[in-house]
Amino acid sequence: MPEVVLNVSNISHFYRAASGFWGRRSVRALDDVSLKIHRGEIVGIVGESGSGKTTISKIMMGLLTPTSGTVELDGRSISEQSRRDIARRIQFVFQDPYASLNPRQSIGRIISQPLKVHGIGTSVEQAKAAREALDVVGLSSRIFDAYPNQLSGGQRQRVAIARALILKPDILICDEPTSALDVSVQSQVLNLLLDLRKEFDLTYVMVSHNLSVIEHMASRVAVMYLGRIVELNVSEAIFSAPVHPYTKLLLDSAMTVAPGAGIPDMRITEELRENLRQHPPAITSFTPA
Amino acid sequence: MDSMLLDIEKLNVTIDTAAGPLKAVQNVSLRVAKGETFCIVGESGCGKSITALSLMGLMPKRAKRRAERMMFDGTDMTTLGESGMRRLRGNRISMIFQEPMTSLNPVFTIGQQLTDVMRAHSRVSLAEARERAAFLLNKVGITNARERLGQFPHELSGGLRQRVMIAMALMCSPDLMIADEPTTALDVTIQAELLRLLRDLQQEFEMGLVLITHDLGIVSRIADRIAVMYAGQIVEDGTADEIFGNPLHPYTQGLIACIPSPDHPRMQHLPSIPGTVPPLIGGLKGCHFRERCPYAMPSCMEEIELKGHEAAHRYRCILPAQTSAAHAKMAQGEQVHA
Repeated sequence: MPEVVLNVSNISHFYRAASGFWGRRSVRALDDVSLKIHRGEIVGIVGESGSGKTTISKIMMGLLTPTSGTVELDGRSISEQSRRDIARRIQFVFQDPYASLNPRQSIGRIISQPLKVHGIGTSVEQAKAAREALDVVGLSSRIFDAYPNQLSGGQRQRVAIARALILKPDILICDEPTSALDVSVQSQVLNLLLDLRKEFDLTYVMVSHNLSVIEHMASRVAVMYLGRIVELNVSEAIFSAPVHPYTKLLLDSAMTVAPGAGIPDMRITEELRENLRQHPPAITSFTPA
Repeated sequence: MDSMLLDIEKLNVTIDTAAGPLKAVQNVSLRVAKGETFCIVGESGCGKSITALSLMGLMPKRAKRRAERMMFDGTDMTTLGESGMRRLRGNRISMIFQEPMTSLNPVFTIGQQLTDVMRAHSRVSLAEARERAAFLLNKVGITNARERLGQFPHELSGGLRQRVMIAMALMCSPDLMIADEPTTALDVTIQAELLRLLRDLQQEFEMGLVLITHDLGIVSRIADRIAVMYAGQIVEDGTADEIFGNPLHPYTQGLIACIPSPDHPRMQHLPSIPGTVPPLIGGLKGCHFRERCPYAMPSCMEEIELKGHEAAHRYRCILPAQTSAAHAKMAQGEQVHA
């Protein structure tokens, strides 16, 4: 059985939110979330905005300290590990490649920045590694001196992936990696992620609201609703025989290509909402293939 | 041709740039009937949004519009001038933009913004306008409509803001609505709800709808007719059944093939269209898709006209039969594009 690389247990997180002028209240973003990620898996996290999928991915990377619960990386709590050590193991690819790349830095500098931060190699070696990283993600090293505004959305996302890979991490957390891209470019980036996983033996956590993308990419899927994992199972099971009513609702609302099928006709009534809240989570733990 | 709501013939939009003229829209012809849903699809940079903006007469200063015919419900829009267009916009033709976050004014209440549209176009009292605003907010599924009128945009979620935009677009009961990616930023459940709402309102008011999107899933489910745009041109148009059932242009085939779906083997390569949309500065010769097309040949260098019957299906390709056979292969999951 593949080892657990990332063990998220009983995470709850509250955001403090201002309410009006006087008081403060807190918003529960995560409610007792547990998730084990095994080496080589692609775990998809789906849910709508506000369901906590971005919060959990930030906590997994140690960018956010949860209110309660622990995250272990290779059996050691990440709260005991330094940011630097975590960054060597886990990297992030963000949604919007227009916002995640510094417009005033050249592509070469953006990609080699993590090496500088970590003090790895001389500047010549760093530049060489950045050129190699460009090659790995299918970009020409001619763009080494270019700036982000000279690149298309797909090229920028490749640059972001190259930057994420340059420290040779084991785990890549991708938050909506293709939702800012056109479909034709989306498939190029997804293909690249699949190739890189094979080549570098990577583990992915993919956060997305695009169910088709998750269905294609993920080996296991966690469905989140109102800060909880309401269903967790292997991808095939989630998509062919969903158990939780929220998973069913998500799958029924998805506008897959279906000529003439019309717009899915489900009404979200108070009764349904109540049912979604009350229904017990359907968690199936990992079984080795 | 029976009475078309919108009848555009050979629309061209050219933008002056430092590097030369950019032909953003080239000879685009489209016709939309009352109550019809017409979808324009294509990648970003293909000219979809600028086509919509130029229909409304909203263009950057450096853009020039030229058309053989631009008729809206029997009126020639090219002769209207700015004040005439202003009387149409927001009144008989309205538009929903992509970003609900940025298209509402943050310093005015929802009520002020909704009533302004109506009072700009007709002599109604503020009370009447507020009445209609509340009625429409209710229609678009917003509860406590009257209280909402006093709220500011930041007090509403993205889904609610987009509903407010739809309500605003409906204030003057338009005959034609142009919606540019109206649901892209929203969750799937809300997306389905809003599209259903648009469809219901459309049927109720016999409104024509021009929907611009790159989401082929949505298009396949709601379009009556579809135009596929690539690099400023319509490369294929026709009924939804024809476009999805028998796509003839390699670009359309590629777009449909690269959508992740259960037909593709899991965790394996998806078909993709190599390359990107070419820059439109200076103008392109021959087939614009040539450089990304798996079937390109020397004769693709020549100008290619749209062929076929406008009512059913037209395509801009010299060898649609060959590509048609290839499409059948692609549908079986084979990767045709290297």
